Amino acid sequence: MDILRTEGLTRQYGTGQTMVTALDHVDLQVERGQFVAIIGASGSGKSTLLHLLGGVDRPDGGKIFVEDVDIATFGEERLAQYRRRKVGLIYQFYNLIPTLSVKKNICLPMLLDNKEPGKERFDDIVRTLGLEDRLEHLPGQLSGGQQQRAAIGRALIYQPAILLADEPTGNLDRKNTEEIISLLKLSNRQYKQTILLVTHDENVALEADRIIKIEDGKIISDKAVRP
Amino acid sequence: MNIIREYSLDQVRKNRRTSISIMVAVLIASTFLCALLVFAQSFWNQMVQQEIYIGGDWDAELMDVPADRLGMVRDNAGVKAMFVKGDNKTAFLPEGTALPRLLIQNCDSGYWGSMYEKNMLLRGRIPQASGEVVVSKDFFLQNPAYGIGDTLAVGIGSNVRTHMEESQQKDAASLTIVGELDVSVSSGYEGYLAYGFMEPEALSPDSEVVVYLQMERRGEVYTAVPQIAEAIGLPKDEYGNYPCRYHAALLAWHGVYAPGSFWGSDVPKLFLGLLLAAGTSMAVFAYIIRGAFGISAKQKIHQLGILKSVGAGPKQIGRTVIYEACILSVIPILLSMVLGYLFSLGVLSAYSDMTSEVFGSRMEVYFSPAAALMAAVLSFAMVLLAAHGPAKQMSKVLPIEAVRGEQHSISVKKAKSHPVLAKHFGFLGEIAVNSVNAGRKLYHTCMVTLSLCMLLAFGFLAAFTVSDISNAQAENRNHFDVNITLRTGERIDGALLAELKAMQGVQGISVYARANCAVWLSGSDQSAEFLQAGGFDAADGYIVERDGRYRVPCVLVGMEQDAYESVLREAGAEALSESYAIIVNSVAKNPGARDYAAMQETVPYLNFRQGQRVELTEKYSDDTQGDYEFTVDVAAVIPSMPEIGLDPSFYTLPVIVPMEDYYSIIGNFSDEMAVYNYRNYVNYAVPDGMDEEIQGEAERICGAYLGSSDYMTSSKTERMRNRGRMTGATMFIVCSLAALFGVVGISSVLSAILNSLGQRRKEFAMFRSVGVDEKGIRRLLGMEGFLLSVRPILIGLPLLTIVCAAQCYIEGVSVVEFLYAFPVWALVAYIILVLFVINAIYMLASKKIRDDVIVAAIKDDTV
Repeated sequence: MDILRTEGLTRQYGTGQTMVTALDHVDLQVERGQFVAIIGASGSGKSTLLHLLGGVDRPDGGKIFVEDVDIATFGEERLAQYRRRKVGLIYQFYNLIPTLSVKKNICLPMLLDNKEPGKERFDDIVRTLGLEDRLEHLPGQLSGGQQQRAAIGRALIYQPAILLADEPTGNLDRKNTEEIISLLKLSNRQYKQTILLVTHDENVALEADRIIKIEDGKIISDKAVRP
Repeated sequence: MNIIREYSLDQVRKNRRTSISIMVAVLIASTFLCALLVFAQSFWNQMVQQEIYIGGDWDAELMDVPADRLGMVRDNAGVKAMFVKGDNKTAFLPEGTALPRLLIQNCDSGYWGSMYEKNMLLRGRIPQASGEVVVSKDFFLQNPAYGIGDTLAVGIGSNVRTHMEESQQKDAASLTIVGELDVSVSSGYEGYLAYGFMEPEALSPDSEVVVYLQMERRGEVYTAVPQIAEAIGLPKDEYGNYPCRYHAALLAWHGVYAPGSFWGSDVPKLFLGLLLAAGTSMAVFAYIIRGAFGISAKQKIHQLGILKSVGAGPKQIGRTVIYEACILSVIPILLSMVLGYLFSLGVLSAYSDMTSEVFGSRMEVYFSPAAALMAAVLSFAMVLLAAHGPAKQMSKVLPIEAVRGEQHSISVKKAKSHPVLAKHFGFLGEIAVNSVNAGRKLYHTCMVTLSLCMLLAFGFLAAFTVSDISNAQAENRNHFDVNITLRTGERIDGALLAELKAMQGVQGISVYARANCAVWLSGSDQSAEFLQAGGFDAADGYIVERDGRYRVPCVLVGMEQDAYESVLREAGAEALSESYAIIVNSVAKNPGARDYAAMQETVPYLNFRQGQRVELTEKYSDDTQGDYEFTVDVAAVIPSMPEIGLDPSFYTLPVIVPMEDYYSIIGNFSDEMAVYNYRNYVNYAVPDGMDEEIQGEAERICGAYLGSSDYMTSSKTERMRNRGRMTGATMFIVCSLAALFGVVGISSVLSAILNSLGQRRKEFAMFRSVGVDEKGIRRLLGMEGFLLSVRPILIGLPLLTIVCAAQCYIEGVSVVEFLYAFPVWALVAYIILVLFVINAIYMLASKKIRDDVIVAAIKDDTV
């Protein structure tokens, strides 16, 4: 069953002669619980696709169905609610709020909803991420790997159906890369989350169930790595 | 704590530099608003107190009230307080006094407490019991044997004023003099003015008094007082009005107006002016502070993008800016209450020092909780208004654009080449101008603020300069150097006029009185020349047309007999037997001309000729109550107004009659205009440098006959000095307020420059990494600073020039005259200051950039 589907998804930047088509009528289906890697050269449109799916960018054409609802038609408030509750976004450069503690950074999507996470779930996530003794620290006091774990914690806290990771290991060393990928796989298995991972690294991509390759804004290959 | 509030508070703490710059801007803007309200309230308070001082603290006056109805008035639910004056008596003085009587007006304790006569007390105290009187100063001058505390054995009779009316019955009584009042009465009354004390309860039921009322609800005075008059059975006059009068000037300051007189009053205009000033200031400050909030919002746009990407809604993003505004405005607004008061105290005290001699009193600084609260509310509204724009802008940004910082980056669509700069300043010059162009939005607020400061301060200065030149020109055209106005409200004492006319050392003198009136004419009465210049139809607003007849405004001028005959002789005419008048038959040919010479050009006005009978009316406007009509025979028609110091306004026809005829005519006018029409004007032309001496002598003579409020003197030197003081004092206030704008402007410039340079650390590090040395960086920043500081001057100067030119055009002042009087040095000083401040900021900031470790600045420090 598809959790995510796009129809003729198009995104263009600039106007006139300087216009660039980042995504060109992309059709894509992702089943619930799948771990999908998206690969492609720089500027191929893979991050743009992820951002459109995450509701942080707006398409110029086409539809994005998430659980059979077209998010491209959402107003700003509903889209914000979608970002809070339905998807978790992980960036290459962590994007934590530097003035908030690690704990608050992790809980941010729930706090924005004026909610507190259940203690059991919070402890479970923090233990899994290995951040128990870093919760009151500020992001600037953590290593790169720890910051990315906090960012993953933030993406997981609302138990979203979809996890979108935009080169989450691009800024990390080999050891931290392996740890982060393990965490994502664990999350995929343990919480039954659908994961879309954008990466340059073929080794990282091989950890996924399915690899989609994008070139010049179009899907040029879509292979299942494992059933 | 709500996460958005917590985030906002953290941001305020973290971004100290931006927070401080916003707080400074809010503090100064709030101080300005608070000061503006304190100025307004102090001015209002001064006006109210001055009106009460000179006119008394009453709302309405009921005349001819029978004493037995006073209880009805007092018990009326609409009446807050009632004061009584009347039961006038004449006290016949013992033998040996210069004049035989005291003309006593009795007042109750409420009257003494609330009315203005107590302020005229020169010595002693006010009467507190029956039998005590205060007497006019001329009593002591003419009867030096008497003093305060003396008891006089007098005969008291009913109210008589001359020996012709002397009453038959005189009751023996004794009066104790308890004080001396600065009042006078015409010598025609053969007595001294005095004020006594009365208990209203002791009045005989048939005596009539004047009642002054303070109303419970001041706003209802114009409807409530006629109802009271009706309730107590006062009769209406021939115009259908009850015998009542209102303290219109005081009521107007309290926002209460007679029906239909709202727009005719100056108070609504002043109030609107204040609203406009407050609104404009709020808008300008909001614009300046908006820039600071914009900088702050842009600084954290990356974080706002993160918040958005994890699900913060547009309202929550907007709220981060609003919360920041609230957090940053609380302390400055509270502090501004103190600063606003201290600023007002300083400025108004200095203003009072400069103007107290002109006004005769000091302005007290008045600070009320209501004004403070209003200033706080306005300041907060201004801050919210300022924050609203950036909040809306931030809430609309796409999360991914914000995360990438795309909104934050400077985008240059097309690099421009600047061959002149490149030639003189090399490649670095070109980079500098491109950087300033690229950061145009960021620097926009700075440029607008500094241009506005220049425009505001120097625009006002130009207005004062032009007005000063215009006044000086008008003064130079004034033939007379010393002007005296005698305003006793009755015919002026002949002895006083004789003494003034005998003044030594004067080269020329004119004495005249004047009263407004009108004549109804037909179109055929216009001269051919006047018709050619537009005629009555071109005088819209001056001449009223009804049913084919035109009401032409006239001024009835009374001249001393000898002066009148001299004018008549010059016109080559003989006096006619009856009421005869000289008509000044000229009218401005080009009343709309700006040039003085063109404006002075005249043509014959009407087809009047010697011997013609002209019918005039007191009713010169629809509002005039009286409608007395009178005729004069034309003794002579002359082409220009004799040089007496009277310059009638456009389309006004001067009708000159001998003074005795003048008095007999205005004696029939309604009471309403009597006070004005009895005024006499005495003007002296004196040798250069003698005007103040002659003015002093005139003061002495008038003071011997009249109370100080019954006459007014002025001289060219005094007027020039007062104008200088007023201009200086007003400029002081304007410059003080403009300085506050300037400080906000400079603080916003400081914030924008530091923010811009902070953002461009990477850019400068890159320049250094490719070999630009310290000198090059200093040169680059120096050029940027110069270009940035030159722009507000290049924007402000042409605007200022337009403002100055417009003012000169309107007032008919030439450019040379303007430049001669305008303080160009102050403008130059301002320009140097702007150049210095901006360049100093750049130089200070460049040190930090030069001290940066190149690799640390180039490294991407995204968390």
